[in-house]
Amino acid sequence: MTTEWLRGVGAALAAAGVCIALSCATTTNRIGDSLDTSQYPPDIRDAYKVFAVRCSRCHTLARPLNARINDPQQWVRYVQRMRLNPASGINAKNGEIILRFLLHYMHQRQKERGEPDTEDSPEALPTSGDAPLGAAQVEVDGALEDGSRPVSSIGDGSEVGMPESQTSTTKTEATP
Amino acid sequence: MSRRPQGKRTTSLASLLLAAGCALAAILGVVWPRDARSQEHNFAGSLQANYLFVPTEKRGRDLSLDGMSTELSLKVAVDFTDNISANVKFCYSCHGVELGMAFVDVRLFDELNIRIGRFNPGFGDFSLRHDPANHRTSDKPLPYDMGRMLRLAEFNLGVLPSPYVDQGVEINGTHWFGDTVQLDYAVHAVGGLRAGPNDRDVDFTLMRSSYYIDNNSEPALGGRVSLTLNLSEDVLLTLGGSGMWGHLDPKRQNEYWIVGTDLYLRIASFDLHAEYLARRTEFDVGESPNETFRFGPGKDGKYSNFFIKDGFYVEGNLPVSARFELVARFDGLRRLGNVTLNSPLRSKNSMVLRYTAGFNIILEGSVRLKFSGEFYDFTDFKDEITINAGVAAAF
Repeated sequence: MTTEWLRGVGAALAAAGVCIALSCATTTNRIGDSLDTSQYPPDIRDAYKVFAVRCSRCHTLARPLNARINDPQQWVRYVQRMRLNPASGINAKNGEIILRFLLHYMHQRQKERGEPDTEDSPEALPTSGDAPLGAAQVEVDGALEDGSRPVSSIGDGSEVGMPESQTSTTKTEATP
Repeated sequence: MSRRPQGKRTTSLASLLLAAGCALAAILGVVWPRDARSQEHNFAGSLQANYLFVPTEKRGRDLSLDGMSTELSLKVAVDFTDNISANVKFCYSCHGVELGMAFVDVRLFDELNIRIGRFNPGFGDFSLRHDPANHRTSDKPLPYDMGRMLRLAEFNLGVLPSPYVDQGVEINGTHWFGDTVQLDYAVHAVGGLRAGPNDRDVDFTLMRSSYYIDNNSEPALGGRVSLTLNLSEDVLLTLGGSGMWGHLDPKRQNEYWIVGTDLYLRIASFDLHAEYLARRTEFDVGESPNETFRFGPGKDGKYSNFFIKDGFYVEGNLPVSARFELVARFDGLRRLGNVTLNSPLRSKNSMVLRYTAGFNIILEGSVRLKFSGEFYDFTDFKDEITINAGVAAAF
């Protein structure tokens, strides 16, 4: 009984060690499952609130916050994919707001890690000319006051930033 | 028992659906080629290690899979084009490595999406967050329990153990009415729950491991509809209903159906989940039921050839701070119907109610330390207490 108990505790400690090691790559402004946005611009702070309420409906916020996505185009598709999940509650307007936050967060992480900011290399982004038909596009036509790339609209396909709903990316469950 | 002369027709319809889905996917793959640059690979995973302690028993293993358990999942999603992707997920848990997902997803437009392969058919609310890193307790609600409840052998797990994974095809979609109302639907034809020729309940071991294929050449049919209301930026309400029907046994003589209804309410950071599930399961009473069953025939002189298992849960999650959250859950499971002479269940109405209170400590990177205590109130057995302590992470 005692051996079994010790074995269990040992396994639990080992698992905890693995989990903590996996979490070491997080940014310094992470607090538990949330993010300290006090240093963020007001519009991004507001966007974070929408992100926190909507995206934690099916999964923890760790999923997007821990994701090592450095391509804005990928975030555009990801948000569109999540928006179309059953009962996501993410309408077109909220999708745009969430995307705005995620792109800002991505740029922040890139700066913290000293990685090249994708906004400095617009050639990395697909443009309307070479992107596949109906693919998401992120337009590089200016900067927000915090220096991040502007995130355009989402949803009805009439605006740049997210794919048209009819040509959206595939749907997956929120779980890994 | 009920024999279904229309079984062949159902099979043909489902086979037609499956064939049409495959043909559609093939055609789309040919006529909609995409730039290789649009192909994306997403990797995700989760890990939970949990210790279940039963202080009220000397040997908890007699009642449950107590002690240490580890659940790991690794998933890769690949977007071949803007409309076609593949998802593969491997899971490791109590019964080894399993294929939790392997399907191709074809999206024609928001309202029409086709999944073909092995996946979680849309059923209920919990399936959206069945991954241990996504729900706040270490174990699952009783209607969805897959082996961590006490007396799991006596009750033969929950109503629909989660994750329910099966092969087949699913058509689903979502539609927004303005910015406020979201309507989702899903219909599926999959292998369905399985049982052996003489089983008197579902044999969940047939759903995994050695054979992933169906046992009776007839798909089970099911579906789900849910309505989500964006009441405000902070308030979200979802109401859903699900159903499933099929035959269990190889000869397609014993049918089952499952219905479920669910509610989800989000107010700021507070979550409330509530669901009810019921399964009616037929079985073969055999040649001499009086020598098989504990209770006699009904007023009509016949032995009932089915039982009903239903269950519910209500769960609330309240983040108190960024690093601390509270969890409370009340759930139950009931089996209504005759039992065999050798069954440990002692009545035609066996029930368990469970009261759960817990808290989670969230470390950096959203690593959660989960602690909870459960009180089991059994009708047919003595009451028990359990303690769960675990760690979970998503990456």
